[in-house]
Amino acid sequence: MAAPESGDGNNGAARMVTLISSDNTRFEVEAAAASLSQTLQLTILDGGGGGGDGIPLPNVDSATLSKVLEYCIKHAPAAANGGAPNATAVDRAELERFDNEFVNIDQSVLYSLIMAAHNLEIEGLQSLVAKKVADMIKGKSPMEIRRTLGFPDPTPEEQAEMNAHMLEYGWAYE
Amino acid sequence: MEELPVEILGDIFAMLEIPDLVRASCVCSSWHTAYTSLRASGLYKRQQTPCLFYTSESAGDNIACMYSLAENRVYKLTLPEPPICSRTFIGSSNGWLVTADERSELHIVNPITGEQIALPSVTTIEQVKPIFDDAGAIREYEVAQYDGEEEFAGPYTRAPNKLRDSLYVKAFVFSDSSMESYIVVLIHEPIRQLSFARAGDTEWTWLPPSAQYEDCIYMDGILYAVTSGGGIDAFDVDGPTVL
Repeated sequence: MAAPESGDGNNGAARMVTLISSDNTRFEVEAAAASLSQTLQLTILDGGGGGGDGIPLPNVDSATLSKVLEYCIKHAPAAANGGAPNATAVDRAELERFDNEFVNIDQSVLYSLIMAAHNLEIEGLQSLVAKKVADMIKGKSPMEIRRTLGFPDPTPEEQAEMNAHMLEYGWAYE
Repeated sequence: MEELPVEILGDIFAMLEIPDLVRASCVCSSWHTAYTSLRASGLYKRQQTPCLFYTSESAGDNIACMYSLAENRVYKLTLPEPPICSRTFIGSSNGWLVTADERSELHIVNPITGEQIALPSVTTIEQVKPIFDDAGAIREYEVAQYDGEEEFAGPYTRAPNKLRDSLYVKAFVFSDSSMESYIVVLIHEPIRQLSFARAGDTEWTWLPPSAQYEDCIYMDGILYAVTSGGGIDAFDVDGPTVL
């Protein structure tokens, strides 16, 4: 975890870092929030990302990065408390409400988030988006899953392969 | 979503209940690859919502019903012979059920995949001897009442379909996730002794001299068994020797 600042981190003394998206937009954010990313944490601990330097993120566009940072800023205080053992039920309920709302998004945005969470290794966000997709799959047939996730209709070869796999576990389709 | 890489699919699949996982595996070939590698890796550890496993006359002799609490529906699983409705269950671990059929012979069966493996014959258990009728069929079994130290009573006999009720106490399957190697351990009468069989064995290996076992666990080639008196015995089952 990032070294704790004196006070609650909102007193203007908190260390800031700059992240640069693939389309060259600069985001200034508290080091504690950016450090939720395992990938960024090492660079930040080494003193990188401060001043005019900035850390380039060639795989993340600005729309996605802004969304990712929204998540990190919201979750940073709880993470700084070591998973928030002393968080109140109200705090936890608020984070849960935020998370549910956060992934209530278009699939293209969700996809970009999944890839960014993976590249940046943000554990909480990785689980959150994976769970969102898992929820979209639940209780559906393979064809319904394809439609839900916007896959094109299967080619005859793909259909034959699906049928062959479905035969292996026929009980799941009755 | 089509382009999700296999490792991320693995994270997603690891959150699914088994019926959902099985259906997801059929969506396309890269999803099937993700499913196969998740199974092989042993990383699929999701706590499953309990299912009620039962058989019923109306479903058929070879059908096991699995009522899913999560989905509020029944799945019907067709399993290999002998009929699942005629078997008793003496253990379950790692997705495998250990069953005893009407001849008191043992199988391990995975109800999800339908895989089944016949275990060594009951007649190869140390204390069990078949008694044949004139036609050469097994009429009944004789069970000798000794452990590694003494014979404490005379033998008794049981009909083939009754032996299972008096002989088997508990069974365990320990395996790596691929099931390339596995070991099945039995706690059996008389006086709750231990026998085991590895993949490919044709007979049960008895583990004398002790008895009165309650439970056991296997790790790194060593079988640890706890007795009703609170003692723990360790066996090197590659030996086998008592440690």
